[in-house]
Amino acid sequence: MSAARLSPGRLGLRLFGCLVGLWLIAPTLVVVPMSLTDEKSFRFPPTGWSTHWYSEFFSDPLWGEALVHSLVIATVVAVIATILGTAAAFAIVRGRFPGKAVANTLLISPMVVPVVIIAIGMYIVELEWHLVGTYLGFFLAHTVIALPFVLITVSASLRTFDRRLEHAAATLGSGPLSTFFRVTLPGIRSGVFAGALFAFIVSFDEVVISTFLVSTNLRTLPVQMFSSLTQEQNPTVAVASTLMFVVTTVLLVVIAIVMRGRDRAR
Amino acid sequence: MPAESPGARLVLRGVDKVYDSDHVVRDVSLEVEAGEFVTLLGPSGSGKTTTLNMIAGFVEATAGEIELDGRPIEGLAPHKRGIGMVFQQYALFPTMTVRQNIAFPLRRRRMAKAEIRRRVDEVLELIDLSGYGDRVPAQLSGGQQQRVALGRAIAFKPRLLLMDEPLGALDRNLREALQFEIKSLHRDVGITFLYVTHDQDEALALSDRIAVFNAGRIDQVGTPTQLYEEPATLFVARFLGESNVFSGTVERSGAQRVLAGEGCRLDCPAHDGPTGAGSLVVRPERIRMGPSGSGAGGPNVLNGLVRDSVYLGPTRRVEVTLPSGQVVVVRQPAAMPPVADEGQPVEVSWDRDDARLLMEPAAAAPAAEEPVLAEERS
Repeated sequence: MSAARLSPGRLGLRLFGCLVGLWLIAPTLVVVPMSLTDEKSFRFPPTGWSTHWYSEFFSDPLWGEALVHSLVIATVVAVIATILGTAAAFAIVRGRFPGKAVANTLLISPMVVPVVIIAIGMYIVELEWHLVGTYLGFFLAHTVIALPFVLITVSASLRTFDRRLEHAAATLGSGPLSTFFRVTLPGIRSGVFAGALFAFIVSFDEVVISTFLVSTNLRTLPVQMFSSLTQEQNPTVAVASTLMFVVTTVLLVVIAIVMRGRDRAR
Repeated sequence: MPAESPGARLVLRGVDKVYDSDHVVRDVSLEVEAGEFVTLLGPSGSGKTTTLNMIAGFVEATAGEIELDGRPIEGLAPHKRGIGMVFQQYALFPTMTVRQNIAFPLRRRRMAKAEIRRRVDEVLELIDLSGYGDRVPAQLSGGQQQRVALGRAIAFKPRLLLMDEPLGALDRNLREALQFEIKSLHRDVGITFLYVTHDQDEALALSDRIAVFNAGRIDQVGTPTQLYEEPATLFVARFLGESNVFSGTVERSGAQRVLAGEGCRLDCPAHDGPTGAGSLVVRPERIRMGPSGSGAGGPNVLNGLVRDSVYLGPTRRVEVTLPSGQVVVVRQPAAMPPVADEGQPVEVSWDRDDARLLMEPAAAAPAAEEPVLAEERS
């Protein structure tokens, strides 16, 4: 990797790669300096620095509650989607039943179907059942779109899992349930963990469905950001963006580390 | 059955396994005595592993009965059979330490903590890995991992231990060392061992008795000596060690029977018996070889040319081509001076009673025409 061996062609390629990377990430990074501005405007770059909007964010109950709501919903959704998605992965990978391919497609479809269609359908059903504006309504709706992520990561782990370990456990006197929790689950834990984090992220930054489901006393952070932008236009929204950016980045880095650790263990 | 024996008596009666249209195990019957070491030997795809998996409970038999200590065990879930098993790829739990692996079956049986600790120590000592309890499997060599798998399988004192090619993943030297350990472990713990391998040397070295599998059936069950000296089929004769097979028609000639083959008439060992298509089997080390015209002549003397002579350490393996084109393999102690060089004429002969007559034409045998060297097969 010495600089001497860097031909003009290679140098150009690297430069191009860096440019693409910058194009992808720069718009996201803009929110960080914006959140630290001392003005009540979106002027970029900021002329002075201050943490004023951070204290604004955490003192305004509208923002604080939205953040708490989002965290609660994302956590519960991650738990439900992980349990259901892992169970579904077992059925898809291990099961032998008619209509398996159809079941798999249906479970994955929320990733493919335009979100706005799911949102409208969800809205109509939840209106009927009086779930709009409730935690339960959010749990149910977000789980639908989070579950495919768990299904995919857990299926991948399960396909490479050595079933002879389960056979060995059986000969050692371990029943199916005990084998699942002591042998199989530890063996696929990286897939389950990554799936749970993905499910959390999916729910945490979900905005389309949430826009339909919010009420005045239950809004999530992304929805609050939208209404803030359209109503008052102050840099608090940049603070919210920065926080979301940090949370999702940290989780994605954790996922990457977990997945790499799994590769090394094999 | 003696109740005090730590080993179980295993009986298979007419066991069949059919996958769709694939008949992988056919009418297998076998009785394994308490404390015995029995090996299922056969080439890959001969049904031996499927048979083992039916005993373990991973595969359901299509027909037949399997009994452990007189109790039928079909329909019993694997974890309720109390049968230990060692797998080819060790199947150790990668996230658990050696101690946790060995303690696993004891925990499932809800033994007291102190009791578990004592038993794990005992097992670690038995498998000679006392200092290794806190390592995880990835930190051990292949041989050590297989010893842990062995220890884990016997930790809960099963009455029957199944072993599915446990040494298949190890290199030759290690395999021989572990064979010795398995043998002494069997002597020490006294439980019944049922061992699966395709390696004849391993089977001969370890077993009290061997069941030779051929295309889903058991061709013969017997002690290593019986199988080697008195093979019941050409398949067994060829699979265990090297054999020279002369085929032809068995005829009555005066008071005795002879085998009339291509360019030869050979004496058969037993005077009475059936006639018809048959084969004579002679082991290479039972054949004498001398320069042409050196012997007195007689019915079991054949002339040929030395095609090849290979020094193998303890023995010399000589191939002699007969006028009919058939190749006779002769094994002589290497300490003896070589009888002839390549291309020279020799005569080979054997005592009538050193041959074994099988009423089976050679063409029916599925094994390859060319005898396979034991050293080459692994």
